[in-house]
Amino acid sequence: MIAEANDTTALIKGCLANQRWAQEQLYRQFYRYAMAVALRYARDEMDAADIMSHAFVKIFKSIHSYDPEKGTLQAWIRRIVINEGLDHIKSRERFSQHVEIESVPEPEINSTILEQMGADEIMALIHKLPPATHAVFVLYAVEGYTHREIGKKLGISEGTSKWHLSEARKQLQQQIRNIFPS
Amino acid sequence: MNQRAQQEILIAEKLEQLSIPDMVDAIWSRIENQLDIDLPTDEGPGGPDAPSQPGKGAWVKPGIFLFVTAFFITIYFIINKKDKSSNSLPAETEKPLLISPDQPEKGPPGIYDKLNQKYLQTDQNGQLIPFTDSGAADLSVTPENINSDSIPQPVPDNNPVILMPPADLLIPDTAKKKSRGVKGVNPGDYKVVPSKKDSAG
Repeated sequence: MIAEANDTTALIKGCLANQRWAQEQLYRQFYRYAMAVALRYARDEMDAADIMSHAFVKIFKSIHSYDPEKGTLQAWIRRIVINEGLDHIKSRERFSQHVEIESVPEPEINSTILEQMGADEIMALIHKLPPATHAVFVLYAVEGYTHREIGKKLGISEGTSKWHLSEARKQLQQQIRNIFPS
Repeated sequence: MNQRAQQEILIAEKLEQLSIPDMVDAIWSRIENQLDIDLPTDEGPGGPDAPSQPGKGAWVKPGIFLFVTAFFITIYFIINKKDKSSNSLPAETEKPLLISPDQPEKGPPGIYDKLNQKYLQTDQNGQLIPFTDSGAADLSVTPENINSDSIPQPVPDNNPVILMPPADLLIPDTAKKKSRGVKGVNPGDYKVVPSKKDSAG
């Protein structure tokens, strides 16, 4: 029974049958991975907890729509957590159209300084970005989405997505210069 | 895949090392509460093993509730209807006109005719006839020559005993006859008196 519960396939079957033990096991199995994703879109830990709880309720309610042939369960969970994170950011700020630009200038951040910084410090800098700019930067720089995909997800044009990325780079450079003036 | 700058790849790698807060139980508690509302199991809140399809169990409890409610409402109406029909019977028909006294030793044997206010008895043919006591005088016969001296005078009793008829034989006052005529008009009011002639006329 325990061996079966550890098997992801058995957990999915249990979740399909609305069995609490299976839902809890699945949640605990993917907690660290999903929480790491949620934290990128949250302002703090409580915000991340909100994203997590909403995302996992959606996961269990729509587990029947998961198709193993289209991708892994981890990728499916990640997509739902990201969407929930974006909904969370959208609730804080409306994604209005900004100036559209064709190309984004390369960042001038010193890699040596970045290497010296811890993950929590970098995350603190990202949290200081405006919500929409924050979302675009994380989607592009961390998740690896293209501007076209980001535009679709956020309901903005590619040019606006590029503008947000440019703004994110500028503001991050400024913040790092303020911390490390040399 | 996009063309990320070297610094952004470095940031992504750093973010993978983010410390994860230990909120696993607190968040699960919130998820479980929400699931109990959205996807309740047959075992109730937090039920361990509930092999059921989502949404199937949600109809069981309301269905039982509706069935029980409909059952009690039906019973209520049936009982109410019976009470109404029994209460709607007229009071006069509750007791028959011909009644048999419960305590025959207190009253004469036979049947009491409430309508004519007299006792009846059956003759040899089974017909109902007015009650006559073999030891008593026949009141229906009118004596032609009766000597007044032969009539025994009633002896006044200082301590008269008033015998009450059986309770069942007492007729309630509700059976009183209606008074005739218009209230307040006496027979004398119908007397025709000739008017006096006017002497002056």
